[in-house]
Amino acid sequence: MASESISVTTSDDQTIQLSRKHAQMSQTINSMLEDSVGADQEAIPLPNVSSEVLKKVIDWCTHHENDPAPVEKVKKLNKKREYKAKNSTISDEWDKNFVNAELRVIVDILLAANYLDVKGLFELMCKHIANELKGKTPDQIRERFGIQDDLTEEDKAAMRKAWGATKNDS
Amino acid sequence: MGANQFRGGLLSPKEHRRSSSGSSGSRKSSPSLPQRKLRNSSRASPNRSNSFSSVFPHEVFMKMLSFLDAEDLCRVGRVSNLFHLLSQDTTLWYDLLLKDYSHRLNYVTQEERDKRMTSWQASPLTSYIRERRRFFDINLKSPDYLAIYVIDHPEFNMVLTDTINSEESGSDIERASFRRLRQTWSTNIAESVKRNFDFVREAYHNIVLWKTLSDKVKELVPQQSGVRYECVLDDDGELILDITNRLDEKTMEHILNQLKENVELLTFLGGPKFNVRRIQS
Repeated sequence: MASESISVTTSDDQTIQLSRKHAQMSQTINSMLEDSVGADQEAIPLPNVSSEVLKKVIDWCTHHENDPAPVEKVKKLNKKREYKAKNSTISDEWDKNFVNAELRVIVDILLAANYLDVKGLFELMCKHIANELKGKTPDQIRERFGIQDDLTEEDKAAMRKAWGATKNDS
Repeated sequence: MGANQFRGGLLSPKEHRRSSSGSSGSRKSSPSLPQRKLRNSSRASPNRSNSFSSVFPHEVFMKMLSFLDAEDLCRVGRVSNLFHLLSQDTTLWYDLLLKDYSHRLNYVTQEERDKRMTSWQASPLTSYIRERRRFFDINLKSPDYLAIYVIDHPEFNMVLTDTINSEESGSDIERASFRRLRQTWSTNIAESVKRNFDFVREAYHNIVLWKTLSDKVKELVPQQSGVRYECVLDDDGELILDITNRLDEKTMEHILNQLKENVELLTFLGGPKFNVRRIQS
């Protein structure tokens, strides 16, 4: 019988214990566990995740540990529903609070969620960034995310012409 | 939200649909845009100031952008080279079309889908616009499709029902036709749509517009300011934004500019044509 808690080693060499339930919310860790049944005494290395970020991820997992598992593989019959459901509204109050963080933290959590393959968290962070992109002019987006404007005037002119944008938002 | 928010346009026979700017869909992807940044891999601690655009793997960007609508995707494409490339993704545009027109494309098989996707690759945006225009036209021409649309879109149906139930003005003939419509609407929508095709077509045209724009206004008007506002489409297809409390000049300008841009994009993306104008009170 496998033990009830799993230890992992983060990028900053910290060893962190997490419950089996939380560990299994990460597809990445879950498959590592399955690969090494019976030999799970050693800490699992997570070279891409810092302890600070992992703690955030665990916070999220703790809040969502009793969520119903996402329904996999919606087949053709349900396609319509699937497409309709794809809007970026974050309905959970706790989640709203959770994403209310510095951009750097958001980016780190998103990358960790991607690496660890925690579906719900990944989705949440993507939605959050999509919401930040919504309704903003290109200028505002650059400013918000610190993106350098590397488009030439020619590119811009072509895009303006093609997309019928107003003159004053470059 | 009374009945007359789009009533004028609804009952007037005016054809203020899109102008004939046929050249607008001819965007080609610029060959000068470099491909270099597309495939950056992820790193552990991204905290340089320009990190955002280079830090994510391709599929993460795609997931993010999949939550945007066509208008936002166009804007995002004007941020930088990387975002421009990302925003040209075929799957994104195809899925947007599926989302808008799920009531029709639902019945497309996976094989057909793949085949169409391949033909989209050269210029996804143009293909998207072409298809969207086509569907817009079909909806306006075919009672059957319009009926499906109404049934598939509860929000649209609700606004329409409200209008039908509250319509009291107009000539005797108009009132009588509304009364008849009221009776059949609740029992058999498909049949009612077919019988009152002209009416529903006008409504479809105007409500889709009005809904899109008033959603936009809702987003733009500062929420905590206690501002009350109403969006009205008038007889000439102009959107009038009636704001009761005073907003400062800068905010008003911002809202107006955003709306204008949205209107232009909407028209470009295959929607109908209309104006946004500010009235000095």
